[in-house]
Amino acid sequence: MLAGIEVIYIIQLFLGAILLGGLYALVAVGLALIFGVMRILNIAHGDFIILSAYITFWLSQIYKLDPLLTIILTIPIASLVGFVTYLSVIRGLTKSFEAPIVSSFGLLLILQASMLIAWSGDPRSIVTPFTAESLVLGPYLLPLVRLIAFIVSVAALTLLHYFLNKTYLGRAIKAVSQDSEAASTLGIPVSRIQALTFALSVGMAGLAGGLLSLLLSFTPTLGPEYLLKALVILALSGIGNILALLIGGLVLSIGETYGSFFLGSGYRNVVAYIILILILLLKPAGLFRSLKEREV
Amino acid sequence: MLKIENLTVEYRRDIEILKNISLFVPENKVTAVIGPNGAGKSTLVKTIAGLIRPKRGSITLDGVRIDGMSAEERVKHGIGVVLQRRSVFPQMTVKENLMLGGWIIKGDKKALEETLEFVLELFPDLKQRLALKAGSLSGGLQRVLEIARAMMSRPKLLLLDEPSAGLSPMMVKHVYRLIDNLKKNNTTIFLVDQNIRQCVDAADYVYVLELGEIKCGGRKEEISESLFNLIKEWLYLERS
Repeated sequence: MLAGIEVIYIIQLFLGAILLGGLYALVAVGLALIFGVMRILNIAHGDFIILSAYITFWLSQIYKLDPLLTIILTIPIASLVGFVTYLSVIRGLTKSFEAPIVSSFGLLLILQASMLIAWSGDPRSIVTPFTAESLVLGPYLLPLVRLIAFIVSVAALTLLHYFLNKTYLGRAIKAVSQDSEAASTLGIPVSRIQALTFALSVGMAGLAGGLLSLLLSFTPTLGPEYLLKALVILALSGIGNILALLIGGLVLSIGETYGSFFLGSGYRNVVAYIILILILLLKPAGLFRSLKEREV
Repeated sequence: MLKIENLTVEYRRDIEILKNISLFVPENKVTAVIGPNGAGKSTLVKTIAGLIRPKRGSITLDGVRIDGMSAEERVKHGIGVVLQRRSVFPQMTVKENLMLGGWIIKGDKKALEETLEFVLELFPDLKQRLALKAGSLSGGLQRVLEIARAMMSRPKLLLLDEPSAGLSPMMVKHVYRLIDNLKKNNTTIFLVDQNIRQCVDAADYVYVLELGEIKCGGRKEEISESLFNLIKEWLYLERS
């Protein structure tokens, strides 16, 4: 009997982890885009996610809008923030690998301080009419907010995949990521493509932040935690494949969920670090590629 | 067509790769620049393409100064470029590579389709391979794809940097046959190559570049004697 209850519980945890995994992939995709196209490691990526959570929170509090509708507004605002960030902080530094890391670290500090001043360090969360609702599947419960976040995340990743592979502009982004000098000799405006990619990336972070604000409570200093999650997923998946990112997101969320279940919730991030270290030691090219392929 | 006057390029301060170069590329002709390793041939191509900024001098295409323009703007003004190194987008198909070559006419779908058809007629090797990943092609066919892709922007002037580098002798012949076809189609070509024989054979005008300076240049027939002596000198230097 006891064993039966445990199995149900383990499966319930698994279902919850799957639903969270889609959102984790969305958390990582913006970082992968910027790194792929510009070879820039945006240290402030997690803080853009948290800033977007606050924008969603703020809009829903002030204008009393439906939180899901608010997320739709958060995306263009986040994209605009990304575009301005590119013009003011990143544009002149794209030829160096180190300089954008330092400047985006500075941006991280500015964003955290600004969010602390604007919203204090108290945890915030958004309660929706369906926060406590769940879909019942036999003995299992699928929390409605998590399910919505999963569906929206997978839909956004699918759309992004379609955009990058099937549209002219998307292919130009891929061309710049593969060989920016060759792209410029074809007349592709590399700098404008990079600005668009930065805006798109922070827009995806905006969507991720908006969805996170419906699921979890957040504080201004949580950004680096999401940066870590994104880095673990990139280490697992590489940067060129959205399906691989989704699988990476699922692996991380499943690892975190069972890790915190068996070891205690305080070990949630420790599990992420352990996964990162194991991947770097055992499969440094990620789960889906050989090291040689990845160097290409 | 293309006029270069007093062009000086330096990589680092005080290291001049090109020194006060002047040359003219006439319309519908093949103009070749030959010279030993390190002469500055690729630097010259990259400077015309807008990938390297000159220190001094001017580059004029059909009466418009282009030396202050970015590489992207120069494509709009009619410059097509094939770089010395491999530059196909390996994870995209041959067709996707070609379509990206037509970036500047992407707003006109009809023109893009017509240009693709025209280019595939010039480069029939690619017709059967449109759906293949560019990275899966042989080195020679990747080179063919690069030239075809550059033609997708319908350039007034095509810059070819070492088109035969790293290719088998058979493929070199093939690539030069394609260059000949382009010439017959009234494409103006600026050609730089280590393969002196093929390069000079294909050219109407030849310039000799040595240590960043033009040693001689003009109609191929007019400079054949000094050309012969210079090549003999390089061969002697390489052997000794």
